[in-house]
Amino acid sequence: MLRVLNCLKGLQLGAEALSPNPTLQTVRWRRKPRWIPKARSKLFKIPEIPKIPKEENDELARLFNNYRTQMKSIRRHFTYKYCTHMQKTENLNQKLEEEADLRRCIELNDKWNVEVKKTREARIAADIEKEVELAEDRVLERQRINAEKLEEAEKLVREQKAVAHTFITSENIDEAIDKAISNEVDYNFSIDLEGNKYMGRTKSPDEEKIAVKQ
Amino acid sequence: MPYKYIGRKTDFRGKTLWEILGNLKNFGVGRIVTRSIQERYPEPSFMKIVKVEALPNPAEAGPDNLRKVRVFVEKTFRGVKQPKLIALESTSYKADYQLVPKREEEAYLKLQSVSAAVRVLPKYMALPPLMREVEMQEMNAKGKEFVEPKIEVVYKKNNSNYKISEEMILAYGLGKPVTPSLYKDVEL
Repeated sequence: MLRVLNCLKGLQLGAEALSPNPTLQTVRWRRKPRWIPKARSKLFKIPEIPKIPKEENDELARLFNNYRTQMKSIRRHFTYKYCTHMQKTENLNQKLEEEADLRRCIELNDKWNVEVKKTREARIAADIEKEVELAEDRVLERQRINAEKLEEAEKLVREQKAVAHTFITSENIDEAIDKAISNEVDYNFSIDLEGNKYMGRTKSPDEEKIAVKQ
Repeated sequence: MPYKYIGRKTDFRGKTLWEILGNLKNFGVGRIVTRSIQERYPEPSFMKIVKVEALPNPAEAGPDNLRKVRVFVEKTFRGVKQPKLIALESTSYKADYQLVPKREEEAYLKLQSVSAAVRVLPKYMALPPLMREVEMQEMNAKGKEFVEPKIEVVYKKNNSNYKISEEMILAYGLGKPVTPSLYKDVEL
């Protein structure tokens, strides 16, 4: 309602256009939310703390304290009065009616509970079945992965065993050193302007040509 | 260039506890500090430092994030000494503490016995006029005998500053003013 009135206010209409009630007054319903920062024009404005004379302040404090005490007392009085009033109803018919209503509510609630129990148990059973299935699948998958890994490892061992006779050991190390010294390998090379590759540091271009794709 | 302060003014007057205690021998154990905000009461309020535990500087220290300190004090509030030690930590950053000079400590400790007199307050309250009329009509309708209606007054629980009297009844109205000069030409 206030929102509508505010819109009308924006249209320069006023509340009288909406309602014939002359006591109706438009109100400014919306304030700046707390999280919006201070307006830039008000940023450096320091609000003055009102200086109230001590006598006046004391008197105001006394009046407010009295007001709060009395209001609290009255509020509690009403609470106690009407709560006990509701509890101590003397109308027998009303009491019977309330009891019957409560019984009906309990019956209906029990009925609903039975229905909900059925669906709940079915759902839980289905869930458990699904979980068991998933768990079995997981076990099979794990077994398959383990078998694959074992197979890979065995394959690696087989391959290594096959080439084991070429390994350099303490028995044939002298032989291997001799062989390495006698077969010197030179990885240096040079390239001419056409991109031909000439292996070796000291070899001349005429001896060997290897075309390099560019 | 002079400082230009921006923002609301504060009622606080003094330093933070860290500022005071960090400059004292033995972190000021045995010294007395006061809070300026408690000077509003006629009875004396002060704290005697018993134990000090340092706390780290905040990660982003600044005027809005001051260093705290955990201090155990013997607190005297409005002339009444608290039976247990009180730990100050969450309020220790407030720039509202003042150190009492050593020569004035004796006088402060003497003030400790000066506490406010225990007030006697009424247990019941008379009803406001309209409520009283309604209550009376309800009584009439039920055919009960007329009794002046009264309700129990709600006070703060566990407060030893007052006693409750069964006989007294709080009259409804403005009550007795503390400054009669304000009501010079008014009939109460």
